[in-house]
Amino acid sequence: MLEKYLMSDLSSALDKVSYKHLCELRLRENCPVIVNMAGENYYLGRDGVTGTKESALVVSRGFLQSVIHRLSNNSMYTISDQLIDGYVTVSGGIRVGVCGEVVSIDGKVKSIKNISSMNFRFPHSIKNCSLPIYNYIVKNGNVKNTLIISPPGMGKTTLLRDLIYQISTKENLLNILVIDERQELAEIFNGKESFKINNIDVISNSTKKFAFNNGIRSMNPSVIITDEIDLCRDINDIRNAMTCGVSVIASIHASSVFDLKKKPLFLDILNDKLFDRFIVLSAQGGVGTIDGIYDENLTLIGY
Amino acid sequence: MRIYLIILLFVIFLFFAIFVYYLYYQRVRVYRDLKILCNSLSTNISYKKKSVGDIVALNYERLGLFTKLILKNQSLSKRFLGVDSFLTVNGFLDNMGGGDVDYELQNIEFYEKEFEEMFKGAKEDLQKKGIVYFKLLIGVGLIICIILF
Repeated sequence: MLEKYLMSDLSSALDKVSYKHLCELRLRENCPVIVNMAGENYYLGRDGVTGTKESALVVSRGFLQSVIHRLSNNSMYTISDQLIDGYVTVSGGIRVGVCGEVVSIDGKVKSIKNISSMNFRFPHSIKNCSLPIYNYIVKNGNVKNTLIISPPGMGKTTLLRDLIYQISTKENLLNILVIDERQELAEIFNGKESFKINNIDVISNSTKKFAFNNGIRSMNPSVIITDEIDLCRDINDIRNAMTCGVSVIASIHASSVFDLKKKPLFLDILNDKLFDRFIVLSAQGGVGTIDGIYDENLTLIGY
Repeated sequence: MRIYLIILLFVIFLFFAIFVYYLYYQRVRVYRDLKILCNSLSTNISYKKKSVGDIVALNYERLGLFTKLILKNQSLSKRFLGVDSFLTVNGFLDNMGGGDVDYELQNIEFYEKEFEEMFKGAKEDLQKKGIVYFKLLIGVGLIICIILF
């Protein structure tokens, strides 16, 4: 599946792994290749998953350099904006996190060089995975302001993706604006969205500030759905959107609600009752387990 | 029978004359195509950020036969353009796609000027050497035909 980007050894080894359970592929310079299958890490050998470190494939720095050039289609300028943020998105919504030496000029990050590790994250569409929370969020055509709280890799993007699909098909007179900063939610590549539904507008590869402000002015959405908000950076834009009568569904990285409560900005959100619903995901019981559904006072109302 | 052989001999010389002129003309065409490619690259990179492969594909139909061959075949390129020109063209092709937008635009501007100089040189060669060789081959062919006749 990644023959275009990875050399034949690695790509044929990956073909022997079940894509359904494949979450991540980690490449580190001079280290064994690791795959994450349904939340567990394994070494990757020539014949697929292997139990021993010795039989695992190893990648060199030259290999990683070659991969980044292939990811950019031998046109590094097309990915330079994304590289500054530490990732590259390729077709199918696969996000490749990149680590290396940062190149700065006058204090501004210009690029990343000497790439020493990469993390391929594979998106999965799990149809109807958001149905258990749907009725808590949408009632009689009204969408409640919702925050999905989850540690990294626990399925919040997959959940959001399905939520977009469910809302757009069940409430097809609502105008839905998807702010897809990292081109993962709408699985956009080369301007083509992976799902074609009538009532969705997508702003991709843009900062949330720009997308919130311009999206509301130009697209008049009923609901905005976005992934991975930052409390410091994005909360004012979200607050402004809600003041304009737009519902917001967003996700945030945190291990639990209690972890979030330690942040003063989150306490402001709670006190102002900015969000009507909090959905918490955890790894107990597998990736994507809904740990609890809370109302605006953080009272448990479902799970 | 003899007259046909003489005509055939003249046609062969004519063919070589046209072929030599054609090669000089194609060299002019190669540099002109490379200038057009530079222009297309700088437009599409700075605004649309299209990949190098996509931009070349966009312009592919407009490129001459020899330009297409040169983009694909290094040894032919070396023989056709000469070592110095080959190194310049190769440098241009190698450096494409390696940096950010600012670097690419500066790089393209630099090579566009190089190709402009090479284009002027090739045009002069066409007008001086190309035409001279054309006339020389036609002349020699005619003389040989007259002698044989």
